Amino acid sequence: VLAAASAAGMTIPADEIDVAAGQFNILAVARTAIDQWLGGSGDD
Amino acid sequence: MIDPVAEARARFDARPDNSSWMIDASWDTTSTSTSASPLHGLPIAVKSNYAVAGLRTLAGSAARDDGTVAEFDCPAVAALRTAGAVIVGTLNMNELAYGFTGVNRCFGDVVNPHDADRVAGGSSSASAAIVGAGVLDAALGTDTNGSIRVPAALCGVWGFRPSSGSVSTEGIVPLAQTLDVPGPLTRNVDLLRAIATALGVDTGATAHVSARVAMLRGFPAHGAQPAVTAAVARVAKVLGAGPTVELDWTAAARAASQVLTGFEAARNHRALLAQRPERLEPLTRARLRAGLAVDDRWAQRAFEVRDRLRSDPDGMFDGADVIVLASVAMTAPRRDTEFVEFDGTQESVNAALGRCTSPFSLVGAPVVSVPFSELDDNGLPIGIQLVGRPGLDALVLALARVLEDDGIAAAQVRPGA
Repeated sequence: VLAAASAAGMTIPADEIDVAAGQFNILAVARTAIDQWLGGSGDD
Repeated sequence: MIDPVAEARARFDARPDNSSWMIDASWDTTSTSTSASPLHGLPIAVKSNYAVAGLRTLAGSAARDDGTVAEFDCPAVAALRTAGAVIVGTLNMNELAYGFTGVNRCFGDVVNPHDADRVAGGSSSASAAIVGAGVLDAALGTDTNGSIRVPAALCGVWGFRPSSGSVSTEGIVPLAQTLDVPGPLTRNVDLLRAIATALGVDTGATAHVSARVAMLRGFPAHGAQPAVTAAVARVAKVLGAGPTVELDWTAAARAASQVLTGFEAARNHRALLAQRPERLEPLTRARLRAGLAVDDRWAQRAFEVRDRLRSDPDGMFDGADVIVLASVAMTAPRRDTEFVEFDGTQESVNAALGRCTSPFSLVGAPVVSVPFSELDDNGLPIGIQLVGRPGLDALVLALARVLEDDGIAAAQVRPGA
């Protein structure tokens, strides 16, 4: 999340990093569910 | 002669819980249409992500308020005016349509008209609350992952998400354009159908109601309050539902909807995040930042799920035309509830609210959220989805009419709460 914000020219205040990371984790779990259904990771 | 707009305004003014409903009001508007449509003279308010000439298009966000107003109506609003409807204002919502609760720190939390200690649902929060309170008979909302169906269910009104692509989204602030669909929330099926027709949906004839209907088992229908489960079974029985079906793709569809929403929302609202982050709500900021970290490969995988499902529309529902399941697994939670538990599994309230609706957004299905005719033991409404295969809009509306005529479904309006 920090890297993506930095790449977009943004900063995240220290006290808001955990909340953003928590939201990212929800999406990461979703990505895993997608990979399980489609098969493979899609990264190759 | 009775002026329906003046009557609606009097009902609005009499409500103690009205302060969070309207973002911009335009009660003095009159209809100049000569249409013979059933919408002629009907006061309708629209979610604040629709462009309405002369009003701000804030999408529930102070970060979007730069002092400007829309120069033109978006096509959906223009279509309603052409049909004779009177647009009386823009309605409060979850900020940028990102959420299911009706919480809005800037414009006020929208509370449930049946119990002010409970959420109205979202993101079309005030669209549902103002109809559930009996102030208006109809409002417009938008539905990305359930944002019409969830608040309609919790507030006890009819809600319709048309098939994806059947209604213009031009001039509507997007959350996630792959999933966004405009649609109505109403007090009865006649208005649901009339508004859908005005918006350009092929609502067809209502005489033909032959359909293969099935009740869903497994995800996402598992884990619901007993009163909700019982209501779903009774509605399915009235519709002559056949054997239950289990759809192995719904969890992946929900996941793909989450990823695409995060990915597209972050890019749609990147400028707000960069230029006015302090004016966004903290949770919105966090969600948009998380979405920025979703790269193109993730989005591509989510699109693969969608495309695979849409390539087999006949097999999508395992031979059924229409699936019956709850709109929300529970009735409206209390405003301070953060987690709920079903069958030993804990879910955040936001996740639980959207669990039953989001899988069907990905496949572009038309869905009516049906208000069950009986309240639960706490006096709260129950909503049930009729999910049609994509393009079967007329069928799900016709089945909704069957349920209304039977008496097992009816809007649960709570005037003067």
